[in-house]
This record gives sequence, C-alpha cells and structure tokens, in this order.
Amino acid sequence: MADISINFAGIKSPNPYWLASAPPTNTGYQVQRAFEAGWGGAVWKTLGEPILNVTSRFGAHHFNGQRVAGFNNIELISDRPLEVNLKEIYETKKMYPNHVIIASLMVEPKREKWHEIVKKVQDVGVDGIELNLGCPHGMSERGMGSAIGQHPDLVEMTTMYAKEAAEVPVITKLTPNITDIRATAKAAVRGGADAVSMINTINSLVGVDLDTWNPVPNVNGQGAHGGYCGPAVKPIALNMVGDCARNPEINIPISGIGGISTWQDTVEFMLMGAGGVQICTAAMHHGFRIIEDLTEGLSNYLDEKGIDSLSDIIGASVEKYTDWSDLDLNHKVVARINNDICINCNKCHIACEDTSHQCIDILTDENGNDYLKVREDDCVGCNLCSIVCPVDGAIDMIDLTPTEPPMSWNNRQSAIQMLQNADS
Amino acid sequence: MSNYEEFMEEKQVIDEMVKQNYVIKNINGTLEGDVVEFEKLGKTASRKSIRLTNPDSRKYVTTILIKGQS
Repeated sequence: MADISINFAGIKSPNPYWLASAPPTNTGYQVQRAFEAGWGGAVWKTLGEPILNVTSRFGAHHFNGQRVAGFNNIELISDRPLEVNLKEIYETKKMYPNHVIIASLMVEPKREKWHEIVKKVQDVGVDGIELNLGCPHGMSERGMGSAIGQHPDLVEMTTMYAKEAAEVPVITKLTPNITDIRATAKAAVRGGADAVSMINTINSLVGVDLDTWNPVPNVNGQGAHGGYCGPAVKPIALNMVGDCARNPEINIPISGIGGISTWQDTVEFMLMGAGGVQICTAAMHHGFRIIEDLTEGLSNYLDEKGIDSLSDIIGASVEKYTDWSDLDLNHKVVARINNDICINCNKCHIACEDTSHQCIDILTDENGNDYLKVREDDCVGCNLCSIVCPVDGAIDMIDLTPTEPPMSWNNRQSAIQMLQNADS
Repeated sequence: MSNYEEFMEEKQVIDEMVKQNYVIKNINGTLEGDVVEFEKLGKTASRKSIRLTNPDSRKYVTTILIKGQS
C-alpha cells in the first residue's frame, strides 16, 4: 500500500488532506470530528480580533442540476475570543498529536500585532502558521486580508513580521484577486515564507433573486461581494499553482487550495506542484466523511500506478506546463467519430458548424442512414466536438504522426529574426 | 474553398519557389498575412515575393526556413 503521508515544509502529516481555514475549522469540536474521520490536518479558522458577522452568509451557484458548482460566502474570521480558540487548539493537539494543526492568522499590518499573535498560537503547540492575506470581503475594507495580499510589498513585510516571531513554519496564503499571483508569491519568498498556499476565494456576487431583486446572499435586502470557491474555481487555482511551481524564484512548497473535491483533483494539484492540499467546500457540501473516498482513492491510484510514495508525484507535470509561445505549432490533432458508438445527436456537427471550423459533415450511407464524418484535412483539432459529445468514446482526438519537426512560435520568431539580421 | 484547399494552393507556390532554387530572404508579418521574399542567386538572379494568407502555409514556410537554417 502506497505511503500517502507528506512532509510539507517540515510539517509531517499522515495524509495530504487538510481542512482549509473556514467554517469547518471554527471549533475544537469540529476539528476533532474531522481528525476522527481521518483528515490529516486542519487550518484553524482565522484568528484575530473577534469580529461580528451578518446573516445570511452563504450563497451557491447551482448549474444545470448540479448543486454547488460554486460557493460564495460573506462570513468573516473567527468571532470567538482568542483565548477560547487557543484553549481548544491546545486540547485538540494534545488529543491528536500526529495530526496537523495550523493557525490561520489575520491582524493589522503592524509588527507588534503580528509578533503578539504568532507567539500566542505558538505557545499552544500549533505545527505551523498560515497568514491570511487573501480574504476578499469585509476584512479587506479594514485594511487586512486581500487589502494586504494585493500589494507585494505588504505581503513581504507581513511575512517578515510573522517570521521574526515564528519558530514553526510560516505559510503565506495568497489571494487570486490580483493580476499575477507570482508577484505576491515572490514577495512571500522575499519575506522568508517557508511555504505559500493558494488560492483564497475570488471576489464574487453569486446571483440576484429574480423575485425580490435582492443580491444573493442578502442581509436585510442588501448584499456585498463575497469570496467564491468550490468546483468552479478549480481551473483558476490549478493554473496559479502551476504557474508558481514552474517559476524558479518561487522555490518553496505550495499548499494547493481551490475547488478540490475528489482524489483525482488532489492528484492533479500535486502533479502540478502542490505539496499538499486544503479542502473546504466539498466538506461543507458532503461532510467530513468524504475523507474516506479521498484517501482510499488516492492510495488505490498510487498502487495501480506502482508508485510507493505520494511525494514521488509532486511536481511531476510541472515541466509540461509552459508558455504558449513554446508549444509546438506543427503538432496536429484531429477528431475521429466512432460511428458504431455515435448516437447521431448531431451536437458535434452543430458545434463545429456554428462555432468552430465547419469540418463535420452529415453524410448518408447506402442504406439511407445519416452518419457523421470529420474532414480531417480541415479539422484544426480544437476538441470542441469531443467536449460537447454526450457519449463517452464516440469521438476520439487522434495525434497524427508528425510530418514536420516541432516548431514553436518562439522558434519561428527567432528564425525570422535571424533572417532579417542577415538581410540587413 | 476549404482551409485545406487554400493551404495546398499556397504550399504549391512555396514548393515551386524552392524547386526553382529560390531561398527565403525575409518574412514580414502584416495584417493581411505574411509577405515572404524569395531570392535566387546566380546568372538568373532575381527576387520575388508572395503573400501567404493561410495559417498552415505560414507555419509551413517558417518550417522550411528553420530546416534551411539548421
């Protein structure tokens, strides 16, 4: 059986699954339930000066019958006194010494404030500290959360403040609400972070009620932007993890967060460079028991692949993630329809005809039956037909044998430049 | 005309130039496609230029260029 334990920035965890800092990690009772269920770690709901919350707080984006494709919240950090949280952290860590407890922290960007809270959480035995520089709502209006995380200089400074007092690893949690997350990830590195985690939630308004015209969620008829998470944000998070993992200046571990709901998502994040993952929305949707499928699926996957240790897959796909300009322009993929599986719904034909490259013909065979056929010479290999096809196996995307050597846009431009230099 | 037929037409022109010992001297990207200048040296030295509008032809001509440079 494969070893699915991790050592993340020096923090040993029985498995890569940590509950992210959020409502599921609000109390000792919840975290203890999670550990009992099998979660490897928990990032405690963010500690700071206790806040006041509103009702209601959550909204969800349901899409085409799928509940909670995306999730939005306007809840703030912990509303409980620090002392109460610290007592519960201490008790929980004592009960579950082999499980990871990370304290998520958020205070004003002042050196003494960070020193004070870092020392307090350290004294109760946390395994690490996560700096919440990413919450996009509420706290940012008070100069904290993403108001810090959107400025590389403040990310660097805050990380440095925490590091000055920290004796345990410091993880800087980054906001995706920024043009290029690599800028703040590099700032965290400069500040001395032992790791970064990404992504915090994305600015969002999940909907407007068609009857009342109230924003969703609403507070006495009014709404404010919240933080978006859940399965819908996974591709955004995965890109940000991959982009950071392939950047040589961001040479610290990455904790992957953002829409991770299954063991398959976990594998994808770890292949793209995450050293562990954090999960919230899936647990809020289905409960802590999802950890059973998460660990079992991961373990079986590694066994089937003949991989002894989860750590062997970390970053294995990073070198395959590159800039567009380095992709091979001469690579050719075409669609092929398997007519024995195709149900002739014509979705591929319509998609191609209306919105792509008009290369799927409806033909008639000798028995007068319609069938679909791709004109491969005209097919640009965009994948759209196979994406819209409702039947598995009805359309294959085929890599054609190369007829020309690989040539990227960068290769092409270099060759033209060389030509122009010689001609001048 | 299909994209492929357009490519084959432009490819034929490129191949013919190469067959006649023309070499690529310059490629300029414009809003209307790539203008490719060819030159033939020797007794019958001359320059010719063609405009390639098809994306596959524009890939093809630079693939030929890179092959010639390597």
